Amino acid sequence: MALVSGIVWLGIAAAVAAWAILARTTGAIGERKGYHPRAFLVLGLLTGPVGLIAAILIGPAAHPVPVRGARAHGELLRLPRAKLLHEVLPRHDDVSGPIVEIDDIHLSFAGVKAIDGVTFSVRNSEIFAVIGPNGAGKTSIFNCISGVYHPQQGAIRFMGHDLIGMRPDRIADLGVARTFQNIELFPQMTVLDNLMLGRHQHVRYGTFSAMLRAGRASREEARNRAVVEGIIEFLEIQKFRKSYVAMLPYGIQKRIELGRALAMEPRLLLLDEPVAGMNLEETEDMARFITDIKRELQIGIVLVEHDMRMVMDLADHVLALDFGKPIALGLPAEIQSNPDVVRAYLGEEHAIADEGATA
Amino acid sequence: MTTTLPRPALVGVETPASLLRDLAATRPRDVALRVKNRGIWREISWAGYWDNVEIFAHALIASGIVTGDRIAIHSENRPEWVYTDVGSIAARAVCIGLYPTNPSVEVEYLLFDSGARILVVEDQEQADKVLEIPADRLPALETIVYLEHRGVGVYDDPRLISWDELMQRGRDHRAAAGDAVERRMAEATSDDLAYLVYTSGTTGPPKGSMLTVRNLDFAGKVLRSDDGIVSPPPGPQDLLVSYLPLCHIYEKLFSVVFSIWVGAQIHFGESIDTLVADMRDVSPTVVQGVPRIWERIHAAILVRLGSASRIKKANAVVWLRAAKRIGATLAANHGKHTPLSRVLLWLGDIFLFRSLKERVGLRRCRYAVTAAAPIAPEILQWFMGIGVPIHEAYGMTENAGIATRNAPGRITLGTVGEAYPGTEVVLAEGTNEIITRHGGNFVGYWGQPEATAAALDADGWLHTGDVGEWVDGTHIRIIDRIKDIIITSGGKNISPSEIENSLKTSPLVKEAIVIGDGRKYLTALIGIDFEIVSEWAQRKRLAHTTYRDLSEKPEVVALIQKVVDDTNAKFSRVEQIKRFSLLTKELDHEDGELTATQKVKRSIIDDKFGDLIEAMYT
Repeated sequence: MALVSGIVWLGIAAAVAAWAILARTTGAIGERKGYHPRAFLVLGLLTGPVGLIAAILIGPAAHPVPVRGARAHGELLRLPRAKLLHEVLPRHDDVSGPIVEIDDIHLSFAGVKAIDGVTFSVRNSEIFAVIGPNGAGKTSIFNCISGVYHPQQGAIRFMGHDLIGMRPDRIADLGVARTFQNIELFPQMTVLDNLMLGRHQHVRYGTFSAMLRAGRASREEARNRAVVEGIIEFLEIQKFRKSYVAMLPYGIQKRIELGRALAMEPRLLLLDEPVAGMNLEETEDMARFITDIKRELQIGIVLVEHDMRMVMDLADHVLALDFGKPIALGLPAEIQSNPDVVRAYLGEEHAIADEGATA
Repeated sequence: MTTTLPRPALVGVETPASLLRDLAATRPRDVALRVKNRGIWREISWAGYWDNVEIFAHALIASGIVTGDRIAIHSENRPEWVYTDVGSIAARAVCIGLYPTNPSVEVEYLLFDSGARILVVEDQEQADKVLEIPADRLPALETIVYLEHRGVGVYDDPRLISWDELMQRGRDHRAAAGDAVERRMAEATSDDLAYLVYTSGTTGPPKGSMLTVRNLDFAGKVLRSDDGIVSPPPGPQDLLVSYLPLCHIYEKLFSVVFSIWVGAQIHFGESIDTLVADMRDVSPTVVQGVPRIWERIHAAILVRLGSASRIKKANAVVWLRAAKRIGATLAANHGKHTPLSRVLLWLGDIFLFRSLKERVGLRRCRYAVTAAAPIAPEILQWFMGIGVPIHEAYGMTENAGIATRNAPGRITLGTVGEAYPGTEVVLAEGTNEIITRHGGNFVGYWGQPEATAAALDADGWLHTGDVGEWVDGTHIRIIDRIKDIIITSGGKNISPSEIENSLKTSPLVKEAIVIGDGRKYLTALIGIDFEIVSEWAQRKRLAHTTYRDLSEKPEVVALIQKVVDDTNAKFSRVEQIKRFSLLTKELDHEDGELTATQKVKRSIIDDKFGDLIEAMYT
């Protein structure tokens, strides 16, 4: 094969050289915009037969599956059947207390109060929903936890660390992963590459090893790929593994974002409107994934969502905000019948009436 | 490794289980199955295959399954499917497959009718279907085995058990009572029931066709014979992808019978969505397909070429013209090449065909077959033109899928071919119904002696319900199902499926139903292919939302009118479609409009779209 491609390259090189010489002697280069037709003729005559010979020589393409002499592995193979998520990702059920505690945080931008005294905590295996009309400060809370904003007052404790003032990447390293309201993936990269990026902080090999693709680098790469493949299987996106993200439907992109967050092996997962703009079927799928993550990984999940039916179905506890102020905190049923919550939503009925509400 | 030790001298008849055991002994380390899991093709050897089958059979015996008990499975194609299938036969039990798309009501009917004692379900989705049926309505069902834990693990129905637990039960039983399966297999007879294959039933509820070990043995030997389907005959180096529903006789014939009788390698892809990528990975040598699949591949290639760069398009135009010529030559010569067509194909391969076939995984295909429904000859000719050796065959559940086939080099397009050697396939006098008599003929419908008597006559002939005619005295052309033939009010007999297939050769048309029984003229209900028409609409900057919305656009109606006109040009005056309507919803199995094998249920259509039909006659 190497020989063949060598011949092809040689042929192409010769043709280009011939073209250049010819073009120069006929004065095609630099004279006009269009090149001399005879140059193309020669180019064609030279490369044509070379390409043809190469095409014949290259012959049957290599396939991953050998036809003859295929040998199975020595032992009788027991297949890894579709497994639960905690077999590819660590399960974090070791903490008994809250994993994150938000204690009376205040955040304001030039006098505008974005968050005004919010307090709550999230435990393992809990889905905690934050609801409220647009501009109520829901996403700001996410940004405070993940270190994008620094609240002027209050404390955020995560597994014994004080998060306020910490850099976002340090917080991510501690095990806080998030998805975004507007998808933040790398559109020109494949699904696989986007997910592998989520493994970034689990890469422990150096530049040199990576250049050689040997030793630790290749072992870790394989291990990370195995984790990512487990997530691909979990999210049922095998079909899109090698597709470019930009070409995929919106609902699938949302799924991939969730996958990237999972790849970080989070202890706390922040989901910012995971079903915004999705149709009924996509919403149901996403709800299923979220409950499966909770059940199988037992991590804490904070959910910001406008789809009230989904919030009421999934959440263990709900916090309702209005203009940055907490107006109610409790079980979904309590929140639903809370008069303050209903009042906050008056005039915003479209938001509480389940679907279609986007930010 | 108990599996490779010399076997005790217990002999029985050849069953899929005994043949598999022998393969495990003679070729223990060769690949039998491959399954793509987490992005990697993982291999299962013949010894591994048999090991799983033997353990499953032990588990059945340990669960008290006796000869003749029924075992059902409700899953997509995967290795556990074939373990269940062959393992049931090893324990002399009967295997029943359910379509993954079967809704709960049909699951209840099939389980109740067959009286299955054990059901294997794939995941929560299938488990939910059976669990929503009150347990007392399925008195025979004792155990529900689930393959995937997710979601099912938390259910507390006492009948539930995981596949791993069941297999552990089997391993324990094997350790304790080593040769129980061996002894059970030695008692097997050719008359043992192997499968109940439920026929899809475009009218009435499905009937369970009883197929015996002898039927399978017959089918297996026919398929692997020198003058069977392909020459040189199939062998261990042949690769197949298992993707059609395994509960249908067609896929069973290839994924189980063909695999075991021939020793070929079967591949299970990642999911039904990834078929294209899986086919490309494997590049199978033998490809079994239904017309819908071939039509899809054909349409996909044309659509892809449509959006290619200008140079590629120009290249494609030239070589597809050559392909047309090759196809026409092959069609005229019964599938044999002339020197010119051979040279053209060789050149075309270099410039275009090879890369087209590479894309869809047909590059190494040495035998392709289409069956299960009629296909338009144009499609076959097109595939032959790009060098895919495709052959139309015909068979049905009741004769183990064996009746006629177009053998390589003896192809007559538009026919389903000739009878296999050693079989009798003739047309009944008077009615011209195709009747068959051979070792593959089933023994009857489960619990339905009247239906059995109607299908199998006293002389052993199976009445297929299809009307045919002879072509050149050797090949059979199928006209239609007897009950589908349209007799217009003018008294003309018309075969709707030919017209429907002609309409469906257009990639724009997904569904076509010709109507006209007892009417003055023919009309058609046409369902557009949403994806393709939607792409067309986008190019025309035609805003649209749903299937219904798109179907109601006058531009789309005009587009389909052209397709109808093209079809009308091919048929005689009485066979003209005078009017047509576009369906406003996609037909679906779950809504009862299609059978599990995607055949249209005419009676339901008449009901649901009665207004639409009447409007075409006013």
